[in-house]
Amino acid sequence: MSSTGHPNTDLQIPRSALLWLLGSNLAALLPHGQHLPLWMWGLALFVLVWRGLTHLGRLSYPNRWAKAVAVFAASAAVVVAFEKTFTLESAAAFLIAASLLKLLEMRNRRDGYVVVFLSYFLLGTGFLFDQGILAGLYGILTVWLLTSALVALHQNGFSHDAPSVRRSRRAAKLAAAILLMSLPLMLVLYLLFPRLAPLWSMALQSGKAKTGLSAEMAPGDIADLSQSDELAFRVSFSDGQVPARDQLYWRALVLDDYDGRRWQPSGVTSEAQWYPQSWQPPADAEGLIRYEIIQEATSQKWLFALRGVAAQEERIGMTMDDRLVVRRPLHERKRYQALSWPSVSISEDGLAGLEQRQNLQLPRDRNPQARAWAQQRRAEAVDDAAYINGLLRHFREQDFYYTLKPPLMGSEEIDDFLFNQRRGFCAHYAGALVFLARAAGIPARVVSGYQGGEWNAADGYLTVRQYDAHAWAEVWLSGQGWVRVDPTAAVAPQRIEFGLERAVAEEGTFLQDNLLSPHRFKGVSWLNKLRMEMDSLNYYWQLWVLSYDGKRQKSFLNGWLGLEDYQQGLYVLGGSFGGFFLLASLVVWWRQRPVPLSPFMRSWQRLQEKGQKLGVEPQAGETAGSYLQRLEQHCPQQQSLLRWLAGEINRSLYQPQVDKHQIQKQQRQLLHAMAKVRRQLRAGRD
Amino acid sequence: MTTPIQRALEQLSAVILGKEEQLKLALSCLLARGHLLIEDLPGMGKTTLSHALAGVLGLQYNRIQFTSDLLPADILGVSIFERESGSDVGRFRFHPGPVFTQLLLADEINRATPKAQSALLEAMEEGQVTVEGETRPLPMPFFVIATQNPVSQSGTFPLPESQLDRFLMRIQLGYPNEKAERELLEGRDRRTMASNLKPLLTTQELAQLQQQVNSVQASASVLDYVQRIIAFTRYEGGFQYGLSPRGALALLRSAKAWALVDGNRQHLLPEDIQAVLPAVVDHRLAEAADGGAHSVSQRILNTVPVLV
Repeated sequence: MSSTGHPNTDLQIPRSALLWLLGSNLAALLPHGQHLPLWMWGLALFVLVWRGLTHLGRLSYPNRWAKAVAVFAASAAVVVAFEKTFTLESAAAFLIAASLLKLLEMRNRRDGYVVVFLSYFLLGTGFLFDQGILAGLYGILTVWLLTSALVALHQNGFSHDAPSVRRSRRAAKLAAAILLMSLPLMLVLYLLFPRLAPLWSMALQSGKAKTGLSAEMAPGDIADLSQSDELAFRVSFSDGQVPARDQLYWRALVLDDYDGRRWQPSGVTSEAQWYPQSWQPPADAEGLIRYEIIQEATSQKWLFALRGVAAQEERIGMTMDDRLVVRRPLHERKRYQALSWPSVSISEDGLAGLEQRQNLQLPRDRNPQARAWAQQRRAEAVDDAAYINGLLRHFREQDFYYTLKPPLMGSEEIDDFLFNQRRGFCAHYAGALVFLARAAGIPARVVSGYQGGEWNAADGYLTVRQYDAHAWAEVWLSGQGWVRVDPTAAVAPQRIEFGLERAVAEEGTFLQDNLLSPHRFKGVSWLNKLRMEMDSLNYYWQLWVLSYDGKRQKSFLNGWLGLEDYQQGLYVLGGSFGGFFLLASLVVWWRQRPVPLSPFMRSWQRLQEKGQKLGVEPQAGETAGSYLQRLEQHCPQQQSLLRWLAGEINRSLYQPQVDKHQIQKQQRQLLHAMAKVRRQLRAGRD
Repeated sequence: MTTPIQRALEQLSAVILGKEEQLKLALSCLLARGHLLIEDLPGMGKTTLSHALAGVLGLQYNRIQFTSDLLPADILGVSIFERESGSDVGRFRFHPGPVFTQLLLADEINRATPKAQSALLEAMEEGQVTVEGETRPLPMPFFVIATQNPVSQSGTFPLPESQLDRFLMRIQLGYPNEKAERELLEGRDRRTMASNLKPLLTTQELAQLQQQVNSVQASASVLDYVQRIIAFTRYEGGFQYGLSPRGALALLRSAKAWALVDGNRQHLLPEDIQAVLPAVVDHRLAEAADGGAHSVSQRILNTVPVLV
């Protein structure tokens, strides 16, 4: 690679640095393990072994053709493995493949730099996938390893005395010292560096890998979701007013269009009003709930909120069907405030024509049995509310089962479910209920989102995970408006009161595809405790570190530092940088400051300066006697004086004296003598 | 009043012409109880010098001519079966080799094989030899003056570093100057002169002088200078190895002897260090890279500051 003949970068990599380079590169690679195809690890192993054998002298570096073939093969493999999609994962995989191949031709110091800097970048890319506290700590560790590699790269091979273990320890120590010293700068940068909104964003992960609610619902979707223990969002409630668990219905989507198989949003009611123009509940309203949500990236535009919600922040809007949305898909974590008034009546005065029609829509000629049954039940009931309650009672009293493994339904799904199978998950019950309501002429819709969550009492926050995903129904009753009806609560009350785990305990299907998930072992108390501790650590990490965005930075600058705008913030940033480097250079100067000369040396140097003016240059490694002798040759008239001085100097400096008093006296005499000689020299010159 | 040392020097310079410096170094070396290595071309007066030293100091003197077929027994001695006179019984008797003497001249030491060379090692270091399992002390004092031809000459085995280190000093004689040469050509045979020298010192007086060397004082300033030199050879100078602690002690001891020989001084001056430095360190240090025109010691002298 290196055709330039730069002497410094052309140097061979020190042998002790190689282990650092390979090790730290591997360390930067590890966090990518989750989303890399398996063959990539084969490539890593192959490259490391080859490079190791090169190091031992068993193999030579690959030649140009081998390298070309390797690059082509690796690129092709990435393209094939990711099915030609351009996602963050495929880009990362390509980068990793390239950095691995670079190891093969790592020959001199310049290549070492490339490898280390690539690894820093790789490490940074890792944070696009995981930003948990463990990943953060691991990142710091890896930065330390990489910096050590960089130091080791600069330990040259001249010192015979140090074995490589000791040199490596020295490198690690120095790197740690460098990082510790840069800690204040890191904090300043973290607090003050402008947080720019991303100029572009891209799907974080391919859809396959991402779990979460999707925009439409077919029976079985949510059951799939319930096999995942991934974090969906966390909530903290202000003023400590935590709603009861059976009130925690986190609404995300309203599905009001049914095609006989899938429920999806029609878009009729999804138009949003943006803060601050949106509706706000009166400040003195009963039962207001104020809360803050930290939501993981969903790549979708919806947020999560309780019923009767009002937007509280810029760039958040509320839709006509009582949900919060944002303008752009959320490719990163978002932290936001919300205010809900669950007891508010919604559309109690009636529905607009289009909304009314949409919420009564049913595919023509499907599920005739259910339709006929609904019309018959409605005719027997006193009013709409009684009809709905009757349906719930039917679910509760008849032979209906709640299961994560529902059987496959026939082509008339709802008929099959209601009259034959009678086994289903929340989506089946919600869908069936809405169908029955609509068939009886009552406007109804499916709502999907999450229900419940795990309350962390010690730190006061709620964790909602993917297996808390849920679907329920809302029906419109005249005079009351939209009312939540959850048929799952009728069939499996444990699901609402205690969560999914309890509801399917008998069946044993909780996270059964996810055998190693710590959530399966809630019964093991120490493990559960550990998991909760870890979770709350991660929560605080998110709360205090990760969610520090532009908005919060602004309020920090305002509130804590009293800065009014970014410009002042930048001044402070520049000032801290300047101060830091000034301090560093002061420390360096102080350490290397010249040792103050002894009075004798000062006097001696002044004498030598005089001699220099007479043309007698002092020489390195010369004794006082021989200099004075040369001086004597130059000005013979001072011979006796100079000889006397030489004698004085030798007596004072080299003749050991025991008496301390005597020594001081001699030193004083010597200084006098030298002053005298200087005067004489000047007089002689003039 | 002249000291015995000065008188000895006078006598020696009458035999070896124009080599005051080397004579003083050689005498310092012996007073510092060190062994001396003289390196030069054949015919430069190496043997005469050692002969003269032995004569002046009144030491018992033996000489071994090293050759490539010399064996350790030729140096140390050998046990021989001897029949007692008039009887049939006999026993082994040890016949001491030439090493059992006060001043040993090992002539052309690098012409012998390493095996023979190392027979001298124990003798030089410990003042004793071990032959056939029995350790025998050597007479006191015991000096070795070895001469060697420059390594580039044919038929030589270079002395290994470990053995070079046993010699306190290595000196070169060099060609005599014009005046000395003329005197040499006009004068009498030097060897005869050397063997006719009268001893000036008794063994006891020599021991006393050696004792005196130990009592020469070194002030902190001088020791600082010595340490700067040592540090330079170890960490900065670009030598293959720095001076060992033994080398450092050798430097100090030689300088003390020099102070006594040069000016009968009871304390060290930096000049004393500088005077013995080439003889003491040149054979102990090797340049890591090609050092250029200057010798190792010259580079030290020109670099390490005396006053700080």
